[in-house]
Amino acid sequence: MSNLRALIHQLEAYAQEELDLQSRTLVVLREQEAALFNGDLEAMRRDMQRLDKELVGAASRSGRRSDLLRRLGLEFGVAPKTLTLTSICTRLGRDGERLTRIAGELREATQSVSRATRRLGALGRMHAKLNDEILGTVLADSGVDRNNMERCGALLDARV
Amino acid sequence: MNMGLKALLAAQSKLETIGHNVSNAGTAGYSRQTLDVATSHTLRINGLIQGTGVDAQVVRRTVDLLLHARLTQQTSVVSRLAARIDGLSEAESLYAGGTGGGLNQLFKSFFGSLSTLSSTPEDRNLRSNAVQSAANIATKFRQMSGGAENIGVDAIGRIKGQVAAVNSLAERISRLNGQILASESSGAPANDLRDARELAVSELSQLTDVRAIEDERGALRVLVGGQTLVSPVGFNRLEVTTDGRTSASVRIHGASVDAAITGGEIGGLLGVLRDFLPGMHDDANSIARNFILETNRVHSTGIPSSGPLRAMTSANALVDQDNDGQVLDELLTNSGLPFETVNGELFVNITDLASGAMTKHRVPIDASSATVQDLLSALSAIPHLSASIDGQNRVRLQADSGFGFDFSPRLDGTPDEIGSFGGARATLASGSNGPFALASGNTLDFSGPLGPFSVSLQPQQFQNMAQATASELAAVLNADANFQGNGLVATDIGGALVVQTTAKGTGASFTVTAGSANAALGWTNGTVLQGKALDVSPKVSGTYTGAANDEWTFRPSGDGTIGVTPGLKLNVFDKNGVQIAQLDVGANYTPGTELAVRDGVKLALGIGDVSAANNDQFRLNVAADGDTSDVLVALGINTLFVGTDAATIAVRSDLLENPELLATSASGASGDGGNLLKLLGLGEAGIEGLGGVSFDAGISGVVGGLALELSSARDAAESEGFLHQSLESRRDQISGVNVDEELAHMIEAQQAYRAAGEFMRVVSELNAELFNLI
Repeated sequence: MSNLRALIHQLEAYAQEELDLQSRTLVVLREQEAALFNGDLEAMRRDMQRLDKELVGAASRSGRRSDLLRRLGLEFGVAPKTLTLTSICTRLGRDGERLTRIAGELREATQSVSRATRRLGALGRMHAKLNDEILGTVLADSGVDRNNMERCGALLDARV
Repeated sequence: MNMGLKALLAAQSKLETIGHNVSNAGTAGYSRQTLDVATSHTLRINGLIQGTGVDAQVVRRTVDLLLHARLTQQTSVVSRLAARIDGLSEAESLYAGGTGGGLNQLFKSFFGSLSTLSSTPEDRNLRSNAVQSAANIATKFRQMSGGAENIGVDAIGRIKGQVAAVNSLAERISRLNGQILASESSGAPANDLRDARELAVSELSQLTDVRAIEDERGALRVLVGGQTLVSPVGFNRLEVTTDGRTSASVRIHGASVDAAITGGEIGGLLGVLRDFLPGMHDDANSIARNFILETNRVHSTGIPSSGPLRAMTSANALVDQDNDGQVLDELLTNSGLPFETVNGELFVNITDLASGAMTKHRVPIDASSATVQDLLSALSAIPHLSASIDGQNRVRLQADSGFGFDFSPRLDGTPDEIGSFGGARATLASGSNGPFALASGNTLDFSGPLGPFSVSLQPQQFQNMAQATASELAAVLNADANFQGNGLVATDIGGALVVQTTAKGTGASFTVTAGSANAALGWTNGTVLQGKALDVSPKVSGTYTGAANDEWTFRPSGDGTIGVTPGLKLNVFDKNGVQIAQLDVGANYTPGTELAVRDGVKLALGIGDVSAANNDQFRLNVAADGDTSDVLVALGINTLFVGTDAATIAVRSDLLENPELLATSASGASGDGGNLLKLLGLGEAGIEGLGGVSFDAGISGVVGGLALELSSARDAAESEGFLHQSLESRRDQISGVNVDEELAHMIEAQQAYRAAGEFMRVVSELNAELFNLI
């Protein structure tokens, strides 16, 4: 039993860590959305760097999560892939109250991040598409002789 | 969802603005536009204040209005200078270049050809060269005059075209005013319309000076030359008033005064017409006119290689100023002649072509009172010469057959034609020059071969008897039958009265018996005059080198015989009675030898008796200038050039056809180039009409002044152009579109969008794992 308790504590710590990460990610996504609205490329670049930092620990967290689920599967005598936070909390009963609370908050935060991500992704794609069309129009009219680029001055289609 | 849509619309507007900028990067006058984006209004939801995204507010032009105004002003300055440089450059090429070289070069060529000719004045080829050189100068002057006129005509044509362009721009600005007012009534700035209007103002500033004032509603009032061209409600047309050749003025339709346009191309062209061309005309005309005057002064008193003139018609016609149907009554100074006649004297030499004998006649010209008739009468009074007016009101001089005439200052070789100085005739001269104070009823009493007689003098025979002239007195005497019958003749020699027998030799005599007029003439009753066997016959030679015309009177110091009487002197007096020389003609003198009088004049006397008591004397006209009155130049007689200014100057047509008529000689002697040397002297001489400078210096001054003005204009254009470029550069920095920058900005954004999308994908995948866990 003491081993299970220790595993639960580790799972609670992991879930809390993911919750914190989602909260920070949500903040960055909202800031990036604002940067996109304002066409502030510098702010967009800065936010992406922050996001990149947050994503750096994703692999190690994934490894810890797999290890915890494997060990909990052994404790509960079930296949690790069948375990979720909700099923673990049900198994733990009153001992899983804290984990249940954290899991709820994590669900809500993850949903928020997902919505923000979808929205931001859609906006980015639409911006890119629009931008692409304008660039295509402008560069197509600029008279650039692609077979003789050296004589064409500085105006190049840098997208390709 | 609405927030995202708003952001997308804002971004779309922003990108469209960038695209608009890029598309118009090459559009003249386009000002870079930017999109102002602002946070949308907020909403209160469940007690919380939430943002609703962003809105695109307004697209603004990036312009500096002060800079734009300065640029407009500077454009006018640069355009004005460019137009001025065009005019000055054309003028410079006219003066300093063109076919046959510049005027300076042609003058050098002309005087060079005269110099060459002076060594062999009879050389036909060299004479042709000299005449052709003169014709080249005349052609050049006419080219300059015509060219200057062409510059004026061209400038006027350009002004007309540009005024039409101004009116077109005014109409465009006015139309844009209306469009801008309509467009901006909604509150949004009409950027592209404003750009178009500013471009029109900028184009206007190239044509004229412009002041543009925008009112509070956004309508532009445009002032040109201080007058309203475009008002907020309409526009006025600019109009040109011109003579089509030399002058033009511009004014707003309906205005009472001309628009004071000083800038832009129109300002520059008006400046060329108003300030530059008249001066250029004046300079060319002044040089040409003085060249005509000075060369003709010399040429008209020279003698062609073909010898004295037989007939000559003046180049310039007289004008019937009082419209009474005749020109004879016109004053010489007011007879429409192109050059001024002044008080002076004209010497007319009549040459017997068979013998070569020449007699010199002085015709005094009183410019203030002499009429054309007076001049013709004086000329016709000269033996063997007649003067008349032809059907075109030109003066025609005609010598009798076998005679010729000229106006050269050469010396009269036999000045004592009548023999009043030791001549063979019995002679008595007045003691002094007239006028003589006579009174009504005075008599002169003589005794001749037919006996005594008296000549009574009456007031009606004189203009003013109290101041009777020798000429009037001689006429009275010569008209008297007894005077004629007794073989006497009276003559005026330079103001002195001389009475002589017509017969020569010792048998000829007369006596002054009495007469109340004797005292006035300095005669003594009872004086017996006797003819002589020998005639002293003074002979004059040499060339007078004095600076001014004069009349010398030669009188013996006492009675005696030339070359015999010891101490006999010959005193020489100038026209003021001042003794200027004394010659020893007594025992030490060998008759027939030349004595140097002064100023290059030499005298030889034959043997014979002279008498101071009988007032023996002879006069010699010494002339530096055969025509100090300029009447020959004014009439255009024996001139090298005809015409009066740069537009009309030409070599006399008959001289152009026959270079033998070039008056190269001062004496008429074969091989003499005396008059050529005088013409050559003009090359270096200070010319009074040019402020005392030579022709060469005068032309150099004009050409140099032109070059300096052109250089100054070019310097100014360079510095003003630099300032203009600087202002344009600043305008481009502020308002211009940097296509590279705009596109780089877009591409950068594109990359950022793609990178963000990639992140979103990764985040989504991670979140999917989390959802599986939860």
